[in-house]
Amino acid sequence: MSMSELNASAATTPEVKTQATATATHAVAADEVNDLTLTRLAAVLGRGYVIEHVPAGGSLSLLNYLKIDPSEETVVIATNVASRAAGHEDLLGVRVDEIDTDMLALFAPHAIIARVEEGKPVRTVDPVLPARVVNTIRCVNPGCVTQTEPYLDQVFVLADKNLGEYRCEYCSAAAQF
Amino acid sequence: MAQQLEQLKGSHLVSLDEWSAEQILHLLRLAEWMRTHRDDASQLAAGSVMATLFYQPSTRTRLSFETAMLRLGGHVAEYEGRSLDTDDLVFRETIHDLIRSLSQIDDIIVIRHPREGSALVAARASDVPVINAGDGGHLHPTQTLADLATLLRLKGGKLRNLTIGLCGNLAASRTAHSLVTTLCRLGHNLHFVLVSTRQNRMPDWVLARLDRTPGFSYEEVDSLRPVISSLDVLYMTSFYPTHVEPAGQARQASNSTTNGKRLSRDYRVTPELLRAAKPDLAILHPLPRGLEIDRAVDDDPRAAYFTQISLGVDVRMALIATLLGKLPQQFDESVVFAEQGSDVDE
Ligand SMILES: [Zn+2]
Repeated sequence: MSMSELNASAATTPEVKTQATATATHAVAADEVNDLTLTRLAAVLGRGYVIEHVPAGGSLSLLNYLKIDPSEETVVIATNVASRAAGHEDLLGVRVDEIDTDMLALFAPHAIIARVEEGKPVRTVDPVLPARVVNTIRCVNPGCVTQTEPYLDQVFVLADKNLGEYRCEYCSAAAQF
Repeated sequence: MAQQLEQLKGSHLVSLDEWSAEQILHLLRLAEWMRTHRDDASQLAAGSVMATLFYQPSTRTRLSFETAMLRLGGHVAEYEGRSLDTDDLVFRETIHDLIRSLSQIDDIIVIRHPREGSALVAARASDVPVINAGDGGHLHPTQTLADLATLLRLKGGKLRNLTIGLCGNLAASRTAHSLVTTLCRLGHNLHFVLVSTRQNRMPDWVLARLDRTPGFSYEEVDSLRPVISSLDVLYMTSFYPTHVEPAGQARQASNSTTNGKRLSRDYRVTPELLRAAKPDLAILHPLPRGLEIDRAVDDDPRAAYFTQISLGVDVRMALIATLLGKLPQQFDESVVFAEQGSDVDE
C-alpha cells in the first residue's frame, strides 16, 4: 500500500466521526457515512475482504486472531466510525485471497464480510460458528487439566449455538475471549 | 439382552452426557438386577483386574468400586495415593503416560483426580475402559447413577410427576448439577425447588437447561421450612464441597451461610422439620455430610442416604460388567421394576 492510500483511509476516520456525532439522531446519515467508508475501503483495497461491524477498537486484535500480519499483507482500517446498527464500529479491509471465517464468527459474531473485487464489494460471506476451536482460546480455569498436563491441545466446543457459547472440552469452563 | 448396553463394551464413562438416555436407563435396570441376583452376578468379571487410582482420597467411593468388582468375582489393583503425589513436580508422570501404561496391565481403570478434565485425558490415553470417579469439581457420574438408582427404587421405578427439592451450596455442588441435568433427559413432569442462599444459587446454565425442558419447572427459595411439605424428594448437599480443600475458596465463600459451627435452620434437616414432610419423602445426600442433616434423622424411614450408598455398589457392578462386556445371560430386564410398573420403557 502506498503512503497516499494509507493517508486516504486514515483521513476518513476523524472526518466520519465528526459527521456522525453531528448527525447522531439521524440513522440515515450514519448509514451513508458507513457506506461511504465501506466503499472507500473497498476502493483502496482493490481485492480481498472488507469486514463491517467489528466492535469499535477491536480490529487490531481481530487481525491477530485471523493471523494476518499487517507487515506482510495490505490492511486498511477505519476505527470507531458511526455504525449502521448502533453505536460505533470498526471496518477492516484485508487484501488476502482466503479469510478464516471460523475465527471471524468466533471473535466478531456480528461482523458482515464482503468479498471485494476490482475495488468494489461484490458479495457477502456468511460466517458460521465452528463446532470445535483448537488452540485458539486458552482455558482460564486454574483447576483445568490443560494447565498441568503437557501436550494437550486447547479445545473448545460450541455448547450453545444461540448464545455462541464455547466451553472447554476438558473442564467445561466457559470460554473467555 | 439390552443391545444398548452391549454397545458400551470397551467404552469409557467420563460424563453421562456421552450416553443416551436409553443407555442410562438400561444400566439402572441392570443395577437393579445386580441387587437382586448377587449369586448370578458373582462370577461375571472373574479373571479381570480393575485398577483404582485415587489421586484424591475418597474412601467411600474407592471402596464402593472395589467392592463392586469383588462382588463380580474380579480382582482389584489399588495404586497407592501417596506415590501419585500431584505436587511432586520433578517425579510427576503425566496422566497420559501413567494411564497408557496401566492400560497395558489392567482390564479397567477407575480414576479420581483433582484436575478438572483429567478423566477425559485418561480415557483418551487408555486402551481399556476408564471410569471417572470424580475429576475435581467437574463431574462424578457414578454418584449421579447412584442418585438416580435411589430415586427409581424409592419412587416406584418412575421419574415422573415429582417435586424434587435440592438444598445446600447449589452453586458448587457438581452432584446437584449433574442430577438435575440428567433428570432433564430421563424424567417427565418434574418440579424442582431450589433451596439456597443468594450467594449459593444454582448456576444459570443449569437453570437454562430446566427452562428448555418441556414439562419441567423450578422455583428458588431461601428456606426449607416453607416448602418441606410439598416435596417428594429432598436432595441435600454439603455446604462445604467435598472435592475442595478446607482452605479453598468455596469454604470461605460459604462461611456466611454456615457461620463456623452453626448452620442456619433454613438449610438443616431435623426431626422437627420432618414433622411437616410427606410420609414417603426420600431424603438423599451424596455424603459426606456436614451439619445439614441432623443425626437424629438417620433412623427416620425417610432417610435414604445410606440406601444410596448400597445402591451405589449395584450401579458400579452394572457399570463395570457393561464396560467389560461381561453382561449376564440371565438378565431379563422386563422383570426389573416390574412389580412397580416401570417408567423406564418409555
Ligand atoms: Zn479447561
